[in-house]
Amino acid sequence: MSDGMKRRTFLKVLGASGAATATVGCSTGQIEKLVPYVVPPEEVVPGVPTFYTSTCRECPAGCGMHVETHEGRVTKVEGNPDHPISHGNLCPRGQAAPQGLYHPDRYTGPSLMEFGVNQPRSTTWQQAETAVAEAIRTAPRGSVVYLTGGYTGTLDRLATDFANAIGARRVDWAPLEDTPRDLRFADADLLVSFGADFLETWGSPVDYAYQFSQQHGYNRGRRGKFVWVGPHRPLTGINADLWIPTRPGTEALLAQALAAGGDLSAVAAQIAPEKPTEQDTQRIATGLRTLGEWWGSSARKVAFGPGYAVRGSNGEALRQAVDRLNGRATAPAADARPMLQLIEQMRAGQIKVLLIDAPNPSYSLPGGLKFAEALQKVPTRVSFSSFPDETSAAATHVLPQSHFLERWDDYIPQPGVFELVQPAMKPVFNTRAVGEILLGISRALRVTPTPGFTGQTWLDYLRASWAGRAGSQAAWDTALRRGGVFAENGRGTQALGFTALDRQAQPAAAAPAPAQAAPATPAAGAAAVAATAAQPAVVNAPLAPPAQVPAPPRAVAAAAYQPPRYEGEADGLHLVVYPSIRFYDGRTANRPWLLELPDQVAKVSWESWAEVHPDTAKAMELEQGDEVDIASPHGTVRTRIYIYPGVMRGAIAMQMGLGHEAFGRFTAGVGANPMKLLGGTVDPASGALATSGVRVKLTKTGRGNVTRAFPQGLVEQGVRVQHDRRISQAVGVTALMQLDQKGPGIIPGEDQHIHQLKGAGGFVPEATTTDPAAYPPAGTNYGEYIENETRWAMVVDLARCIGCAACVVACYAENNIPVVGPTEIRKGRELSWLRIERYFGVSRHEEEALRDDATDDVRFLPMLCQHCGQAPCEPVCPVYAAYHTPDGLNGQVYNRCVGTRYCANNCPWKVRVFNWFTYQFAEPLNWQLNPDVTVREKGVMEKCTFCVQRIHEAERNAASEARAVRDGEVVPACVQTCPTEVFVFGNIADPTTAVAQAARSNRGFRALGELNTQPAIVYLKKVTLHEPRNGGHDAPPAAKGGGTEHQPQEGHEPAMQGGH
Amino acid sequence: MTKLLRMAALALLPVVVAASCRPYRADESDGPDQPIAFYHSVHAGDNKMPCMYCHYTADRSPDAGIPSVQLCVGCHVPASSAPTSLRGQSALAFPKVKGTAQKPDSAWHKEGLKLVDYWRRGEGIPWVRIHKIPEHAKFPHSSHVNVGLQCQTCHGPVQEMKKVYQFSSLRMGWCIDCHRGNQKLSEPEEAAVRSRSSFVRRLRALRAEGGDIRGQQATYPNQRASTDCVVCHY
Amino acid sequence: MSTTVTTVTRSEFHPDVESYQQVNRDAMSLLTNPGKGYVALLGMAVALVGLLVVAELHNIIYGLGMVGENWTVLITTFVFWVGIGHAGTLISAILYLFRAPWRQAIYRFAEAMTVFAVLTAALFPLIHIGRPWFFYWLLPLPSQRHIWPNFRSPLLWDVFAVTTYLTVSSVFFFIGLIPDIAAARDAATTPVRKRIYTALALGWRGTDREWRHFTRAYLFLAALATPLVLSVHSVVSWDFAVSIVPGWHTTIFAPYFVAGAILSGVAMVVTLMVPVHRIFRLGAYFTPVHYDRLAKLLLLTSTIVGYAYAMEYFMAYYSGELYERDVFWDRVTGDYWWAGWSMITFNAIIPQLLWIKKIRQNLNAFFLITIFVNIGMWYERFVIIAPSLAHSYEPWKFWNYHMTWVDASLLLGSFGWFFMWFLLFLRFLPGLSIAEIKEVLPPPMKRHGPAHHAEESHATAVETLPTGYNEWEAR
Repeated sequence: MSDGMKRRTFLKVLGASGAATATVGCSTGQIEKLVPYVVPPEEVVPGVPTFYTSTCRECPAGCGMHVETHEGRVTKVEGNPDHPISHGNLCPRGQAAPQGLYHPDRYTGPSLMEFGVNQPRSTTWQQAETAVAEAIRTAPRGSVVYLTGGYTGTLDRLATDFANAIGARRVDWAPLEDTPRDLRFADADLLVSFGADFLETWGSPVDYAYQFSQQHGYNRGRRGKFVWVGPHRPLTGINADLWIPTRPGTEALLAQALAAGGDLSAVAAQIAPEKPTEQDTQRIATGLRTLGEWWGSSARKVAFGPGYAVRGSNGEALRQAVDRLNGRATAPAADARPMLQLIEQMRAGQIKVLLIDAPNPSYSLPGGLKFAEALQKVPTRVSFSSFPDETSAAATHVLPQSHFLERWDDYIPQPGVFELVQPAMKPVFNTRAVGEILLGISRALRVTPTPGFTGQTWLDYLRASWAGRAGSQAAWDTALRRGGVFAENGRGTQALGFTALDRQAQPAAAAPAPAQAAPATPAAGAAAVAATAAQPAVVNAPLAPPAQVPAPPRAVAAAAYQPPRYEGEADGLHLVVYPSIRFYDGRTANRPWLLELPDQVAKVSWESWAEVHPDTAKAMELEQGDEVDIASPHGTVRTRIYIYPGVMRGAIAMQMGLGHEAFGRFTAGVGANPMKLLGGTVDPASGALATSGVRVKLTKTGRGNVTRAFPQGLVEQGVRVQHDRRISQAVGVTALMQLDQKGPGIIPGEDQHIHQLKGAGGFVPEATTTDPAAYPPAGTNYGEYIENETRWAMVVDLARCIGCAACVVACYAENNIPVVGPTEIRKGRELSWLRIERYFGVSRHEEEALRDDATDDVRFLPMLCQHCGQAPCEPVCPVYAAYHTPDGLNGQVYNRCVGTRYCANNCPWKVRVFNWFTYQFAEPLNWQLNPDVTVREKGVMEKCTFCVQRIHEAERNAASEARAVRDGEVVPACVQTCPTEVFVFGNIADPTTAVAQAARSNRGFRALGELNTQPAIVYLKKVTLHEPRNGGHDAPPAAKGGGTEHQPQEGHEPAMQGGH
Repeated sequence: MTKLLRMAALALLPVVVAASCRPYRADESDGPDQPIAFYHSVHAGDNKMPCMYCHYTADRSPDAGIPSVQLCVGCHVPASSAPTSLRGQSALAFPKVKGTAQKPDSAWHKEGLKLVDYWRRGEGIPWVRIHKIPEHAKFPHSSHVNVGLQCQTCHGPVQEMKKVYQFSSLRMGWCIDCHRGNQKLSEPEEAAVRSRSSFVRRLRALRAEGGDIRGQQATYPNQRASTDCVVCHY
Repeated sequence: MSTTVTTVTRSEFHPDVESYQQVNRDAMSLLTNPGKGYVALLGMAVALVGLLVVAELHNIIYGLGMVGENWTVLITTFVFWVGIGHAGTLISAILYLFRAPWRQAIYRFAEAMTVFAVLTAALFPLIHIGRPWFFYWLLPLPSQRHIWPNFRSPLLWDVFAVTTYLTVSSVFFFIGLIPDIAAARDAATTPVRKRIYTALALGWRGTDREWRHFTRAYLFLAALATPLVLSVHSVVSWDFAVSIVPGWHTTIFAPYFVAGAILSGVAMVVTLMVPVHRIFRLGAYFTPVHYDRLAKLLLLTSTIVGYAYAMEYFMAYYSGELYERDVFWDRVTGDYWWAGWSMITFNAIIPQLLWIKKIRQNLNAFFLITIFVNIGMWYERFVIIAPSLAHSYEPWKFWNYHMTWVDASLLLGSFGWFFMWFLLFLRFLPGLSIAEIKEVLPPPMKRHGPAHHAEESHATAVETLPTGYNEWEAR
């Protein structure tokens, strides 16, 4: 138990800490103590989770969330269904928030460094605040700077007032937070993104992913198009139907041409690489032509940009062109010049006191700016960071701020949305909200930041500033219950409700809302937090509420397009630096779940890599995994080569987020930081920081993947081609519409497959149809499954899956899945119950995944336990640890398992994972463990249970009310969080349920359905614009290398005679 | 030869011990001493307090709940709503028991003072846990209370216990026996369970619509609840 | 020897064995003088067992994390040893029922090998599971939990098959030993040995009745053991055949495994016989006839196995099943091509040399071939397991197996464990079946030639012969 924790918090934990012990142990073995509350918190029933409404602050999107707490411990976060931004969903980063809260590396309390001493000494808040105040008081005028990042709402106001009050200058530094978060494109026919990864970091990823799924998913013959423009394809890019590769810095040209409505082919020459190959010119020509046609034929069009990765000297020009395309004005990119000026002053020694609450500038600023060096010149460096990071490591005073799950705050992500952040538990460590700290320092300085503010605490200040919006206690309670004040309801206005699946899915995901949001009153909030809850007093003198809308956009002169100038040697590779969906700009890089989660595109964990085109690699004699030094005029980083056709020839792409020098135990020595390679030049037009326009040299420093006892180096999980297995299928939109004429519920592929078998004289299994009515056949004890009983089943719509893997992290959080770490990951031993498979090709030929068009039809496949009706894993278990439940689940009894691992061998989907060791949860990460799920020990097999604990909870509730479980009442963690609502879960035996209706679709198929194990998971084929390749003979191994956009091919040719 | 055998037996012993649970004795002598000599016999027995007056979440939560110190103080130290507002020991009271509180040397009084001390220090009372089910087995109290089972059925005659002891073995076999209906229940209990058990109701429904019930009735004619492994182990 | 002796009738199998006395002498000599080489070998074996213990302790304490990604080496070795365990019963029981007299000299070795091989194999079901301390859950023991093992699981069938086979074969082995133990008892010099042998001999005196019962019992046990030879390895093969893993799910497995088992068993018999033959100079007992018969047996089984291989590939092609084809293609062209080809070469091709009489009769060549077969048969199981698990249905989880130090230690350790028992057996139990070899020797009769010579030898015979044998001769 680390010193920062309050005893009572510990006792609360004790109540449920039982879950943290392993599956062995005997019922009446050891003597334990039961320590009750001294004073029981109201509305907290021990053993029953309490939910609080709050707002996610992992990124500027500001998704509303419900925080699940058990006996005062936060155990899980979920999207708030009533919220206009999150729609009840969360992204991987949001799901990983509890790991930020319980991170073992967090500062346990304030600390400061005396002169001469290089070791920070932990101290009290009183002393720390006085020390800072003292430094501020003694500092000469104008030498105090408050560096803030992405403040809005009340904190923004307090910060400004505070800076004014103490005579400090305030500098804002929020690199990725300057993108529009209020675009509406759910009904658009065509999306064009200029390097804007709006499904990952750009704007408001969860909201945009939700809209994208409606725009791009299949909707009764309607399916929007999406064009990606940029030098390389990140996750968002490979979800596009068309990619126009552009030389970094030339995107603006295309945007302008598009806006001008002229002939696009004119720009072909400029956007092509310096030395274009035959394929490049052809590809760009075809691309431009198609884009032109689509743009002309589409009614509703939305453009995105500029993405962070394509912000060069023409960034502003691109933004203005995009605004013209959208016919709306957005704010220009964040002005970096004040920051540069600050750095100059720091270097010149003009800054005496620097208060830092910006996202780790020492790490995230371009290496060329040498912020870290300049920082050393500042005598008093005060960091408000809650983690030790590169910046706070150099700080003289560390006043750690609370995690957003343990503090009061508010946030204004976009006009008209005012969100509240409420603490769901007592601070884990001795930390405070930034507002609290500012008030404390002001108190020590005897200044009142805001005239008229009479209260004491930050909460008082918050309530005061909200007085205009939610003055009365009732209004405040309502705001807290909803998560803030916002006009539109989450799903109501936004859902287009285009499929049965969609309509039905909404109540499903919405179900937890009423029951759980209810207790989330401030009383409960406070009560759960502190046993002696002081009702926050409504302050008499209300402050003027913070600005309703963000400050009006800076006026920026119209920017003309200049041919981009590049730093570095002329024959170098264009460096593309892009933010990561897992790590954002690196601020979430220390969360074990996110490190363990394989990258959505590269499928690499615990490692950085540099993406190069196969031809580039061939030219430089590089192989995947080779270790290289990447040198720019500003620095050098060492990383490994990843061969990827989704990056243009002559470019190299690197992901931000890893390569930390001081960011705790998990990131130590992991990966490389590409920001070191950037110079920190700015776009003259807007003053925005240029992230492209650098050329780098590669020098090979070693063979990468030496296979000793186990694979070392860069290990890419999975394979890139489907080996003719047709496990992830697609169907052309035209063919699909023809099928729809015939009626629902036919699966052409499968049926033909069976007949093929018959023809080949092989054994003929039951016809495999996904029609739920067809299973189980009447009067059979098929697969130990009781007729007329509930059968839990799931439908997975591949047309909506964008591969973001939020479901995977949610699964980790809900089911106490341990993190195995880099060495075990390289042995392929990740314990993930749910994985997102990513296929570039369908044939058995690896080359197919290296072709230029390999990234045009990327298949994502969420793979989890299929809960077969007649499961191969069940009969082979000698002890009944794997067996079939009456309601159609494949039960897995951990404590009965002896670990023969036969079930895993016999599982065709390989979704069973084995506990090779007893994995540890570093204190206090174990506080997050879900008490409803057993923690497994070494030697035990585990797998997806369809969140059986939630099923039982729902059944218990239903039983106590003497009714049947309602459709949509059971929501597994993956279903709950999916931003694009790919999953539908429910009882497929009842034809009225959403899942049963969704399963009766012409897109339906079962992965490896020909094995006839009757899986409970029905996949809906991805829908492509052209007839896709679907494995088997129709995969042309001949067409290597070049190849045009799409070869129109017969989609439903069964893959029987695949191979030799 | 015999010597060898003896050694082998010795070597096997720990295995056997590890494999089997600590044998329990269902009698008072097995009940551990508690930090405060709290007599269930006095509270639940003599004073006829309902179990759920103190264990107040038994019908709402998987955990029955242990009374907070505040709850004890509520009766025994009247007018003491928060640790700070403690008036001193004169306030120590024993409802329904005449005159005991006045005698400062009475055993009850001494024990009462312990409670007062915990209250004053603002500490929880570290009760020794008696009923413990391993974490890999989930036992929701609420479901069992709500189908109308009496606390005593599993916890024994608590109202007669001075020191509470473990009445039932809490082993898997014991659970299974009851779920299969092999264990005797009192008439009203049996009736309540028959009418309220979701398992029985589902079975009825299935039989009504002529569904296959996998010989449940034949095998365990008066089964009360599901014996599906995953119902308790997940 | 005087020329007259040559007229004495000779056994067709052991022409160089002159008399019962010689048999006793040779058989007993195995028990007395071990020699340095023996001690060194035993030391090595015990050291390897130490390795096995260390590796297994590591598994128990830290979990299976340091073994390779899947079953490969552990189950390969398990099946390998079960297979070895087959020749013994075949030779001792089946050939006994078929009254093949040439088995007498070698069956004791074969049987010992069987028992110890099965003993070794029996380790691996324990070793390969994640929580060995719960192994007893696989046994059908009544428990307060009201749960039984899953009788549909092939792993459970394994438990029964292996334990049954172990019991029957060791009983068979022991019964066969009784008269010889009695002989050893009577010949024993040190009191300790005498006491132990006395205990083990169960008071055998060698009376008529005893012999009658003995032969009956032996016959029945032989009849009982015979079906096991077929059943056990069929069951083991079903470990794979009842799964749906491509490359395992094959109806041919049972016969194919049995044939393979006999092949490996016979090979191992020879691999063990030859050194013993050389070290203890048993040329008189292990004659070319024996080796020739064994070679023919080897040839037969190797051909059957070769046919099975061919059949597997044909079925893979003919089934038209994508997954099946891929796996079999992968075995010979994929990452495991080396294993695939060494299996085919060592098991199906090299033994074919035994068609040539010269090679059959050349002890060294034959020995070498059997070594190849042993390796090849290990690879056969490896090739069945590794590629199938590495390239199952789900492409995303294609993953090759990597051997670790724990796997290696367990593999080597299993050999140590086996040879430890085998060496101890040589030292403490008669490796030659005295009684049965005598069956195939011509009974002693009045000799030609100088009487004193005969008396002398007779005299020695009388004093060296154990009680019991006199009556037996008198019959």
